[in-house]
Amino acid sequence: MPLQALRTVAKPQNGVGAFILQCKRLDFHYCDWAGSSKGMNAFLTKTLPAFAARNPGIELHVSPRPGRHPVLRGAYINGCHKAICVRNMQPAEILDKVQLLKAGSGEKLRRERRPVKSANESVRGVWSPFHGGGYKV
Amino acid sequence: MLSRTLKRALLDSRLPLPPTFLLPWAAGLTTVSHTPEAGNVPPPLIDSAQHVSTDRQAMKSASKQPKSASPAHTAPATAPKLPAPSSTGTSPIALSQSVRDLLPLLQAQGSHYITAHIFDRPYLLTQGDTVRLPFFMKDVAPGDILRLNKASNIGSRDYTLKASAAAPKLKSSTTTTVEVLDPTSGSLASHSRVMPTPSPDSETPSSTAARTMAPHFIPHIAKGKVSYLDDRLFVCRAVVMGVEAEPMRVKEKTKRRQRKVKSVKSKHRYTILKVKEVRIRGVEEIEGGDELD
Repeated sequence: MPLQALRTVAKPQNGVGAFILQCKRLDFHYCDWAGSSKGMNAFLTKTLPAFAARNPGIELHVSPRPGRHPVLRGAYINGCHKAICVRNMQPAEILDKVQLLKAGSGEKLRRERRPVKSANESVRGVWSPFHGGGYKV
Repeated sequence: MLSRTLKRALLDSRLPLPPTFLLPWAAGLTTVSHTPEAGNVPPPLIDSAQHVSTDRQAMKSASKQPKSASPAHTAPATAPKLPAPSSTGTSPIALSQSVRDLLPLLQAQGSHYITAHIFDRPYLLTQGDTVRLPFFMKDVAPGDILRLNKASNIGSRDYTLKASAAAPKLKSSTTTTVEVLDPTSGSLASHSRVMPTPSPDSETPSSTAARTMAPHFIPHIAKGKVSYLDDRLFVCRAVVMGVEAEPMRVKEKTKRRQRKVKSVKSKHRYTILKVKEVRIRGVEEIEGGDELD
C-alpha cells in the first residue's frame, strides 16, 4: 500500500506568531439614581473614551441597569464571562478593575505549582539505559 | 443621558475582524503557516508591539555592567519595530575555538532549549512555552514583547553552550598575600597576612589571571553561583500574555489559649509570558557585531 501522508493542522499558538487579546468585550452597567453608581458614572464620562481609543480591539457596551449596583462584565474568547460589581468605587479603582478584566484570560483561577508549561517534547530526549555512557559494574 | 449616543460613538471606531487564520477558534482550519508579513498583520497588533520601550530591557540586563542605552533601530518594513538589545560589554566578543567549531552544529540541530534567568531565577524554556512568573510585573500591558538577555545554558539534543564559571571569591590566601611581621615593642612577635592593595598600573598579570579566570567547575567554590552567557550569542523573546490571579486563600492567625482568630486574605497576581523565539546566532552574525535583531 502506498505511503499515506499524515493530515495535520497548524497548532494554534497565541503569542508566538501574532498576539490576540483574550478579552473581546466589556459591558458597563450603570444607574442614574443609585448612589453606588456615582463613581461609575464619572468613569463613563471622563475615563472611558480614552480607554476605548487605546483599545480598539475590545468591544465596549454601555447600558443602564436601573435600580441596581454598577457592574463590569467581561467576555473572553474561550466563551467565559467575568463580572465585577463596582459599587461605591472611585473612577481610578474602576479603571484598575477594567485593566484586570482586560489582562485576564477567562480561565478559572487555579494555583499553578510549576511555572513553565510546555507542549513540546523534551529537547534532549528521554533517558534510556541502552544509550549514553552505560553502566559500569 | 448616556446610553445611545455614547454607544454609537464607541462602536463607530470598531475595526474589522482580523483574517480567519489569526482567530484562535478558527486557527485549526488552515494547514498553511502564515507568518506576520506587513500585509497580513492588522494595525492593532503592530501598535501593541511598538508599545515596548527600552526602559523595560534595562530592568533585565546585568546589573554590574554599565547599561549602554542603544536607540531602537528602525527594522525593515516587513517586521514590527523592536528595540535593540543592550549588550553586556562594549568590547568585541571573543569566541573560543570550541565555540567556533561547534556552534554551527548546535544551530543545525532541530529543537533548542534555553535556561533563561528572570531576576536570577532559572526557567528552562523552548519556543511556545508559557511561563507564569512568581510576581506581578508592573508597567507592562498584554501584547508587549520582552527580550530575555540573561541565560546560563543554551542547548540542543547533543550540544550545550555554557558560560565559563564565575570567578571564585576565595577567602583563603591569594597568590599575592604576604606574611608580615607587625612592628611590636615587646618580646611577643605578631605575624599577620596582608594582601597588598593593587595599584592600577602595577597589577601583575599572573595575579589577575588567577583571580578572574577560574577552572571549569569547582563545586564547593561555585556553589549557588551562576554565570551568564554573553547576550550577543542568542535571541530570546517573550510576549506578555496577561495577568493571572491565584484563588483567594485565607490564613488564620491565632495563639494558644486565645479565642480571637484573625483571618488574613491573600490573592496574588502573576504575570504570564509566552516565549516567542529562541534562536542562536551564527558565528558570522556574532562577530559582525550586527545589533539588528
